Amino acid sequence: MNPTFINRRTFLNQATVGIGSTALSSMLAGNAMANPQAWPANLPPHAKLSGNPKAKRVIFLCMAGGPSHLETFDYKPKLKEMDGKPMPESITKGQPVAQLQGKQLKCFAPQLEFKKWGKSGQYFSSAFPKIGGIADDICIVRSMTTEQINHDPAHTYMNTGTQISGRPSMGSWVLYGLGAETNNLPGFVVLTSVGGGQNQPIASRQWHSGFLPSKYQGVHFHSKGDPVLYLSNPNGVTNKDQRSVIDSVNQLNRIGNLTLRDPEISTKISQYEMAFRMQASVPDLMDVSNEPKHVLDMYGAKPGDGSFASNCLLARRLAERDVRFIHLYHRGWDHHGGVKNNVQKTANLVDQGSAALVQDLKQRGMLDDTLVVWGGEFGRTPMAQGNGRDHHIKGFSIWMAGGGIKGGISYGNTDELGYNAEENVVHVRDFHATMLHQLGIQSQFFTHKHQGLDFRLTGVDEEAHIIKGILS
Amino acid sequence: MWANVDFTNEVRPILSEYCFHCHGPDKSTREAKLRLDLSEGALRDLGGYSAVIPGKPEDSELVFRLHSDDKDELMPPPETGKRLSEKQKKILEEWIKRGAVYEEHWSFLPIDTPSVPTKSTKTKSKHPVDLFLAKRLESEAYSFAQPTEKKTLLRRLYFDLLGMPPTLMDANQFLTDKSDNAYDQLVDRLLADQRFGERMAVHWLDLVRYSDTIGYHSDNFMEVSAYRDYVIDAFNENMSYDQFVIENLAGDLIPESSKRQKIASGYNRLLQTTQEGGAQAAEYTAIYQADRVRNFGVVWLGATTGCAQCHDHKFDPFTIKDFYSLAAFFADLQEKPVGRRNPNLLLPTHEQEVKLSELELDKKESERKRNLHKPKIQQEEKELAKELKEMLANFLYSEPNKDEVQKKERILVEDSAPSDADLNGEWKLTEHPVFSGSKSIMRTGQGNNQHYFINSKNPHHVFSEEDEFFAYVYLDPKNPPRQIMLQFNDGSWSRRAYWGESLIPYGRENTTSRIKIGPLPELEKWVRLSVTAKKIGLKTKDKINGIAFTQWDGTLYWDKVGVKTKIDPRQDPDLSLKKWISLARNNKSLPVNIQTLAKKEEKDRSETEIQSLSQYFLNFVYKKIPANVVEIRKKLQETKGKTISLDAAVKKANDAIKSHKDTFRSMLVSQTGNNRMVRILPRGNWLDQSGEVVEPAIPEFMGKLDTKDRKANRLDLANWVVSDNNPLPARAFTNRIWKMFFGYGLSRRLEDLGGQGEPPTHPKLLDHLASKFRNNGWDVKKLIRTLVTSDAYKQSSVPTEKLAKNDPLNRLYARQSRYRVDAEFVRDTALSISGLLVSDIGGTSVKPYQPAGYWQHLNFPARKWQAGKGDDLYRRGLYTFHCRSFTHPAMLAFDAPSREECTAERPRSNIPQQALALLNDPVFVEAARVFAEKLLTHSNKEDLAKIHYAFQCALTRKPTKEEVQVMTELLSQQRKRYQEDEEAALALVKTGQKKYNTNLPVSELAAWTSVSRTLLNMYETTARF
Repeated sequence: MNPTFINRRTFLNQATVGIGSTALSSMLAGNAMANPQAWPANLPPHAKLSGNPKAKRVIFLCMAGGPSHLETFDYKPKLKEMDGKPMPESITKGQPVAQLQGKQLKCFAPQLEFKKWGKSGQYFSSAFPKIGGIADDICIVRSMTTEQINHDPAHTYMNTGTQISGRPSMGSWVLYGLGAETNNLPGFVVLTSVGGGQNQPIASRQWHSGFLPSKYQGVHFHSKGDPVLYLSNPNGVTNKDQRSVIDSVNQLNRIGNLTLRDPEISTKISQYEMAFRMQASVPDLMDVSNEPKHVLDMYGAKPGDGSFASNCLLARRLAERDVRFIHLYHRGWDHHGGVKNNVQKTANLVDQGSAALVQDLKQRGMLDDTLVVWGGEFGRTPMAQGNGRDHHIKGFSIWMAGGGIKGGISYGNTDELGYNAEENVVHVRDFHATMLHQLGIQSQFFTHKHQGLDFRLTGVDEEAHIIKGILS
Repeated sequence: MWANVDFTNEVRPILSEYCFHCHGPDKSTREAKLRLDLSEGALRDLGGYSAVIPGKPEDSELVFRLHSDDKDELMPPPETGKRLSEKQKKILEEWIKRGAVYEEHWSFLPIDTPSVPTKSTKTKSKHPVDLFLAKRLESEAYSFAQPTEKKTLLRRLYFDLLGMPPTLMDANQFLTDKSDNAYDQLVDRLLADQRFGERMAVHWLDLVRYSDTIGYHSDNFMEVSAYRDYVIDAFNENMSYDQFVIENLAGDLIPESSKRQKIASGYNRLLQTTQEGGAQAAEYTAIYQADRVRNFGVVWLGATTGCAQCHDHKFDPFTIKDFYSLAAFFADLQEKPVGRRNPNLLLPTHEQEVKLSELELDKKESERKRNLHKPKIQQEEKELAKELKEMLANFLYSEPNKDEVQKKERILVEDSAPSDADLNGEWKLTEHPVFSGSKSIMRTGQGNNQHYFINSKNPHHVFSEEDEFFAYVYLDPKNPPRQIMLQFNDGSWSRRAYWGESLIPYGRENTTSRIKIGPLPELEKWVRLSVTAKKIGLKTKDKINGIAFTQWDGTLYWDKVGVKTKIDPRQDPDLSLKKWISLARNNKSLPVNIQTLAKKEEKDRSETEIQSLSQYFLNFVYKKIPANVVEIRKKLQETKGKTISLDAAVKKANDAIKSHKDTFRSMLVSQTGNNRMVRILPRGNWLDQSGEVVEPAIPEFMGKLDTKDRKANRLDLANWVVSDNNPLPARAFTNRIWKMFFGYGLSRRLEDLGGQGEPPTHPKLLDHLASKFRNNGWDVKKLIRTLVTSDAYKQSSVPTEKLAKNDPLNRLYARQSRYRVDAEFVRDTALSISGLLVSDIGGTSVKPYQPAGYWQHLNFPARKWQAGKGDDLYRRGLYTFHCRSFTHPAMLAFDAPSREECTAERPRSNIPQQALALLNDPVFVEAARVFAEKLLTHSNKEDLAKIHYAFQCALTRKPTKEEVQVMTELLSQQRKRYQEDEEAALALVKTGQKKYNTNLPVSELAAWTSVSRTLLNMYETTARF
């Protein structure tokens, strides 16, 4: 029997998992390129959706290292007054500190100028002139709190809702909950950039799917070498050669499956098709040279430079291609020393890209259904660490835009020294609940059973609250 | 309607899922004072009514609440989003109707020894496994599947026991053996094969979260690979499981424990740890103790305890007190909460031990010499010192005064590079030409080049602007430089003087940062170059701590570098006692007691101490002293030199031992001796110190350790784990082993035999196996032999359409299971088929190829994956260096866990990254090429024969006609393509470090590489059917 003429009915009967009939027919006809499929094959939604989703996707701009809220989005004149004076013990007693353990705690004035931006008059650092230009689109939350004071567990907490390793990150949860809509790209993509301060390590656990199946894992796109690991053909192998090998592999698998009737084999066949398509689609995605010059200029991106600005542009391209969760990390915000110069320096690296992304999405009509989040794993102490600031978890700032979030407002406040979030306190789990809510997912019912427990992104113990005050 | 209602299998899962969260063991979240996990609770009078009234569902509040229309009364409350199905409600009603009998949770009950069913209509086998499984099938429309084909069974057994397929020779041995016991002999053969231990270790290392890195933050290296080898050996030697348990948990506490038992106790050190600056010790201590208890629970008991870190377990009887009492067993471990994991056990090889004893002999010899000669020398020294003292007895010293300022030439470089400064560039000493002393320094170079010293411990203090720096140069007439420059460092490099052209690009012309002194000096003779401090902007008290000797092109020699200066004798340590004392505190060449005295504040020194200092100064330092004193001084110095060199020899021998020891393999092991207090941390909060202090204790509901007045320790804990009255370990272990051979656990959730797990599909079978296992000396190989010799193991894995539909998760075992093999074995299979595999057992972890830049996000320090060389590249997957933050991407693609937490069961995904890895990871391409070389050098020259041979090697079977056709087409197409493009062919066959066989035509090798790549990518190759 010639394998290319395998009985079509037999075939469709075996194809019980992850393969549509049209795709199969085209594969049988030897024309696998004709019909792209979901990546990875067939990701159904697992969350019960509420009536009114606002956002379809999330772009999270993670400012890794912990930006100082006091030099960026939370102005504290009182701290200026108290500069050099001891921090009131009533505030700091018994509180966790990181590198300031056992040191004298003194107030440290805000090191950068603040000003009013936009029609809304949002008040934030002059280090962000471009973000100033989108002040009316963003909602600043000044009352964030988290529970982990060191980088690694704090990222883990922000991403998974717990500091215990091995739980799914929010990108995986969202992909698991909503399923994938992309044709030939992963549904959860991670991009990274550096600069502006010491580069804290970022572990791949931050985009791991934990106890969810591996297909919900974030896929890290690299700006150097293969954009996706093992994406390039071996030396001396052209796309045509690769195609021949894949065709042969799939034919052999099909022949075997006539007797084995194993759904895993059917899936395997479709995954080889997918892999081959990715070899074309990913480089195409990463190649921004066909973007018009004014767009490149708007972001301040130079093709292939691996900068945060370039990653912002890629984020837009990924969003256009219906990737569900796009997570950018900029590793440069850990400013234990020289907070003045270093915040300014790092701000220079992220300001334009962040603002351009929001503007670009807006002008393409995509901001309405894209939730953009900007923030780090924690903030920094009002107390000095030399001329820098230590890690701080009791109050810090993030901002959001699009996806049904009100623009031009600020929400919540820290105390007059910027230490404790005091008014409208937003815990990380509240942020998670709000993000899921905007995506149409009710967080308390969005669970996955593992080791005998119903796990949630928002945790199993404490109640998470949607931040109603920021919804449009 | 119901013949019976099974509490364990039907009722309890419903109560657990829908009720226990608020009405279960955790008192802190218990609502309405009602608990439904115990009979007393359910039956309790709640004021005229009860949740459950046995026999009367219609009067039971529980039933009423399930059906209520009132949303305030309805249970579970609507806002939980949980609803019981009608069938589930009926089960509860039926259970109450039948008397609402509670049974204790199955896994906590003593292990039963159920009698083996005697006969069955579903099997003729007498094997207990078959009879128990058949019993369950009696009530079903299914029977066991047909026995699988012999070659499929062979591959199954190889994958299951060794983690790789049989070679052609292995296969032939079995397939041609027609004797009755051929299979049993095969089983024995494979159980005795050393690869068995490696295969079992992969599963075990997931459980104990073994890794080569610490996990958190900077995720640095830690050396624990000896533990991996211990596990391999333990399985290969068939160590009894109880012994294994004890050695893991408390090997170090076993009286007179062996090195190997100590290595085993490394289990307690495998957890994730941190080195992050700013991490709080108390917090990480809490994190580690919780991690250990979690892992202890799953690995040894098959129980999840994690919930009890913050509150009483919601579904099982573990309390928060139990959790911290278990943690207290590990509070004896000595470890730094935050910081480097320093090995505490050295593991030299035999050769290293031999070398060590040689070095120790050297050391003894050097000590012997020192002890022999030193007394005599010291005696001499004493006498000389006495003589010196007598000579100076009447010498009167007084501090100099300023009027005695004198000119002085201070030499900064002569005959060698300065020893008290940092050096840069090559300082090439030569003996010709020389201006003074015995050597000069030669420099030759192109363009801008230099050598310099910096950070001198004894900088020159500029006395005045008149100070004159000088250096002698000799220019090679055959190759003269075009410019010479002297640069002076007074904190920065900003003072420069030069001669000749202006080419060296430093400083600003005509300023003190770059001033031309004159033309290039005369060639072929020594010329003195000099520049005053004033010329280059130096002022009194500036400190010159470095000089750079820079030139443009050419060859020249430098000699005698110094400064003509004046010196205030009060500032000269050779003349002023005061000045000398002020410098002596940091002068490491002085005797320690002198340094110590010098460090004291002047006012704190006693009369005798001042005496000692001035005595030393006069004896050895002071320059204005009679000539005969100088003579004695010199002798004394020589004697001292002898003592120093004797001591130095001993030190050198000691250093050699130390650096030799640094090359030893090492290990982190448990080391007792800590006595940390453990408190219950309310809500798991490490900052909350209000909790009760607890002592080591086993979970209260499981009993109490009898250690009399002695505090229980890890050894007691380990002994309890494997004691007769603990039913969990035998069940947990047997269940996990079952899964390795049948694809699923008898109780489906391997990590949780507790209330939220699943009751076993075949409880009696599990108890039968667990009791046999425990009662037959915890014999692991025997247990495995039992499983793989059953008919059920040997049946086909291909389901009928109906069975596939009705029992997709194979709960009946009416067929075998089939799946892709684990990540490590995917690699091992390709290496083994190709012949590339290096089958050494054990050793430190190795680094095969990994995509460049994959580790770029690691920091403190930033590091690169340096692929190994030669054999290291072709070892089995379990030896690949395991990094928790960035686990090898090809492994990760095939579901290898990051081993941050215990993994009892890997997911089995089927994702495009797997295709990309198998297609493009160089190791698989290289394996394909080596496989192709094997095919091309096969005796039969025909393509067809080679294709047959390829299938036999890779799949242990012949290809079908259709398969041959696919391969032939591919081959001819690729052959043509690579004949036309030899360059591409060469590029392909050059993949990987192993040299390709140059005797083979390159285009042929490339074409066959495509064929073998295809085979290695075929699903069947790495699947266990």
